[in-house]
Amino acid sequence: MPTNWSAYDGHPHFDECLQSSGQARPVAAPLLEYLRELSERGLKSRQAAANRAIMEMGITFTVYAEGENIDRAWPLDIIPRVIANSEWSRIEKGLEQRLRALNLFIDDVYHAQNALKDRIVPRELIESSRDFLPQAMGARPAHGVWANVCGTDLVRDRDGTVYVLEDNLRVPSGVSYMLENRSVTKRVFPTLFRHMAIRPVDAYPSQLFDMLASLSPRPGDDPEIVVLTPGIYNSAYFEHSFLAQRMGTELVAGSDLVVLDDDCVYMRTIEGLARVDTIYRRINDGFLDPKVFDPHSVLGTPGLFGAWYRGNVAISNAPGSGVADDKVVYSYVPDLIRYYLAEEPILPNVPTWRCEDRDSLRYVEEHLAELVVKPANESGGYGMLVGPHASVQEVETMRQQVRANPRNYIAQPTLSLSTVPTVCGSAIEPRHVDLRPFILQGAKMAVTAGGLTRVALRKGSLVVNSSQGGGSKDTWVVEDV
Amino acid sequence: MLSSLAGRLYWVGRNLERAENTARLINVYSELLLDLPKGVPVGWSNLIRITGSGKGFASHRQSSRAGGASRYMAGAVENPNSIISTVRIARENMRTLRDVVPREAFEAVNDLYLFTNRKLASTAFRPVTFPVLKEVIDRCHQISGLFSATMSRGPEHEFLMLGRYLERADMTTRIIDVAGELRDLQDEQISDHDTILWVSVLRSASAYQMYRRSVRSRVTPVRVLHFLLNDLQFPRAVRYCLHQIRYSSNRLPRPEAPIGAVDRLLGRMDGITLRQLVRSELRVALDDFQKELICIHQAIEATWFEPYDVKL
Repeated sequence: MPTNWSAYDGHPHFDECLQSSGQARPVAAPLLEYLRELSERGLKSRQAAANRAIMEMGITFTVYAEGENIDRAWPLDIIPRVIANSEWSRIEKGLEQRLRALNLFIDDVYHAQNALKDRIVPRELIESSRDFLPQAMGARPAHGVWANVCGTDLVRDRDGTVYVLEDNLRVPSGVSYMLENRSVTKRVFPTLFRHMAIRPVDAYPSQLFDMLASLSPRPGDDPEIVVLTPGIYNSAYFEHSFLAQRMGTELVAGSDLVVLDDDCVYMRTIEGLARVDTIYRRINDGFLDPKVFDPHSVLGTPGLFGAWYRGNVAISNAPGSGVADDKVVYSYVPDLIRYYLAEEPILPNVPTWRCEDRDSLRYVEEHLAELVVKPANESGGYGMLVGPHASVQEVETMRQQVRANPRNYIAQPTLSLSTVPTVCGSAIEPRHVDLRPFILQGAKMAVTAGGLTRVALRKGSLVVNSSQGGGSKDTWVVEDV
Repeated sequence: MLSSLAGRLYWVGRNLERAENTARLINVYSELLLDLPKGVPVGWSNLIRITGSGKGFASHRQSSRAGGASRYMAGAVENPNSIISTVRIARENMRTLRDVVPREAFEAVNDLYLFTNRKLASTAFRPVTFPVLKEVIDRCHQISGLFSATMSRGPEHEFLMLGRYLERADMTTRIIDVAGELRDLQDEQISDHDTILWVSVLRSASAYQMYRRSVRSRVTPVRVLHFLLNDLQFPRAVRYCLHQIRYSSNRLPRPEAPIGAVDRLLGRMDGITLRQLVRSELRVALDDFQKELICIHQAIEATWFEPYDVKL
């Protein structure tokens, strides 16, 4: 029996692979041709092969699927999302432009504050931000770059426009899934990889290593780079260990590090103490150093912040970078691009109402049931309201929350996220997706070819977060035909 | 290599060894108690005592029930030395060593964890059976085999070995300790019951067959003691274990302190003449050996796990 595509009849959304006529988009044509020739059984056996490959490769995910706080199996849908290289080149430039501007902004916030003086961004907004670190004022991270690793979420609306949904500048995760997804789909669709010119993604770990090395305070030497993890109970622990392994660096916890009287950071090894040059930290600012932040935290290392501030160790992303990872600050990014770079933004923002603005607040309250409302600095989709999918009760609760603390909320129109063909039982159905590319900035910039495509596996759902029933897909950036 | 990593490997070695030894001890004791007549002063209390679990057991709700002791030692999560606890700790440590240990070993430890959880957890109303304990031992052997056959002999392997042999030496001294308090050691004419007991001692250390091949003579207390303490070929004898610790230490950086501690214990053992030893002296000597083993552990810890542990 051939695969069943009937769910696509009269599909009202933008699909990444199919045109509204039901014809394949040119860049996805070889993929769709291949899928349409598959039988139901062939499709199922390929999905099963992928599940087996995931079991073999990422054994932690399945073995530890017991407690609440331990990684669950990560569902991968085998049908990739396909993007034309010509379109990707433009997105890539837009992503680089955006991160350059964001880093100029962060550096400005912690030095001259020109953007605040020139009223591009309101001063109160920054000073009230939970992620603004007054202790970091005057710090000089290498190359003037604070957010070295950025995960930017992109979505495509009904008319085909790609919007930036948010910039993740604190400790963005998911890149290990991108790499694992690719090695799975290579095993499942080897013929397609032979016939389509798909851009590789495997360079990421060495690009990350080079970027981290470029931050070392002791240039010239072989820098000692470590990945700092909060430990095995963190949901992204697999990724921390994966990246450390791929880069050939140590994976450390805060207790492995010590700061001595010389204000340098060392790690404890069986040979004795070894000086550390760059820390790729995967713990939040507040846990880095109990001397400066939460005195009860046992995750960090006493003295670490001071060592960083004095330039004796690089921390990536730099403490305080999160100030630009705030959904209200987000709404100013297009202005920041114009201000610092004197360029027009290549990638548009999603139109955003800032609830602190009285007129916007009134509009938001009147249209809550149509809008998506988000807290300013939560991640993982927590505390978010999707108006059209929410109950009256949920809408009312959100109304109270927004009224009580308008600074902490933004609202956006509910976009009609684009879809990608997805294996649903024995049929192929459209499911909504977003895309998280990863951008690196140190001495140079690098952008992943594609990124992590996250997919809302429940029919009609727009929530793609893995903590809330989402899955992922491989992303193929393909040479135009 | 990170100190914390070295420490976790060491504790994987110790906890797996402890799980295996505990399983064997429960097995041997279960059989021994069936063979001994009433009035012979050997009971589960001996077993509880040699594993150092006396205090915890006394307050355990199962302590008065039949079979309570074996269940406490096998499946009590509140007993840190129980099989279920030691396996859990080993597995928790292994989780962070995914990239360091062979994957098959990682999976085998995880399987052992799932097995002990299935078969030993909440055994409150289920007896601890021979096949389950045997499977624990078999699985531990499988894991040792994987380490031995598939792991490079770098520092990672040496830390596993340090943990294994230190734990093993410690357990062997404890096994001897129990038997030693029973009868006069220098008595050549021991009763059948005593023979059974001393054979059990050997079997607790998996040593009976190798003892027979090596000693080729009647089982006497002094010969058993000599074999379990001083044999250089039997891999569970204390002296053999100490030589292994010495060997592994030598392959690691800055081994002076641990090796010094090992040599001091070897010297203490040399100073003891088993043929003239009486019961009370054996007790004192074994206490002394156990203290020296703790010193070796501390030397290992201070040298490799906590270098320059500055207090801030």
